[in-house]
Amino acid sequence: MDKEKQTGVQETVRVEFQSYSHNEQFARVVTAVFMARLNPTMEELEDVKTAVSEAVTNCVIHAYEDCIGTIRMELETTGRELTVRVQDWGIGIENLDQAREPLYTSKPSRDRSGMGFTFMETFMDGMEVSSSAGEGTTVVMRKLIGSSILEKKVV
Amino acid sequence: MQEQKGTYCIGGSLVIPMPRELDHHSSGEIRDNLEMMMVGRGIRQVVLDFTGTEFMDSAGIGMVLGKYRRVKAFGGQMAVCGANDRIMRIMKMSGIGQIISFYATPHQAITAKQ
Repeated sequence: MDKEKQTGVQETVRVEFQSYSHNEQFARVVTAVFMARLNPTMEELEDVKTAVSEAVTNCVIHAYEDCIGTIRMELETTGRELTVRVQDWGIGIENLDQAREPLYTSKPSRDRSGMGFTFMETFMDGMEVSSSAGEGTTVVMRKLIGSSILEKKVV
Repeated sequence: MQEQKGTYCIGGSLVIPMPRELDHHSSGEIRDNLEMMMVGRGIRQVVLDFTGTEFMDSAGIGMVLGKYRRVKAFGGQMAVCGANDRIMRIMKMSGIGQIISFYATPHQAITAKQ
């Protein structure tokens, strides 16, 4: 019990799943259940679910465009900070700066909005992407949960 | 092609209900006969009904834009109705609000067009 009460305690969950599109929802559900322990607001919950959905959808659509591959999602809490790491071993991104531009999509003919990275950046406090062509991509996103409640208390 | 479940026509308007969670997976499963309905049945307005939708990400935005292009290509109008605050925020972030009208209910969308 004492251990559970410690602040700043770190917990990690790691799941791997295949890049079937129905696993976009699976990733959101797992994330929502894991972060529930941080007692997030509805807005925080929806923000993270949206960001996770974007990261996993990128793996499904882009990384493993012509095949089914493995997606690894790691969720970590350190104190009130949630870290989400989504990794694939797909085709990688050749031009990261271009990929992160709002409205840019490499597949304009397929009803893509090009807002994926923009949503990840907007809904999380921080986002980093690393990628190597032919080797894969890792997205790391962070968000402090409960910050809006703390701000209200200060006011 | 089978239409999205719950799709209905009122006058020259076609109302298509959106799924509870609109992501890349579910948007790929939305079937419609837009072109056939617009040419064959004189549909002039397509209303996407978000009343039952609780989640949407950027893939949903892509789906809406894709339908918008098809409707415009046949000279029709498109409207969105019933979107909750969260979905409205996401749509506005994407700039969709500049080209598509938002309404509270399907009835309001259809009435506004007439």
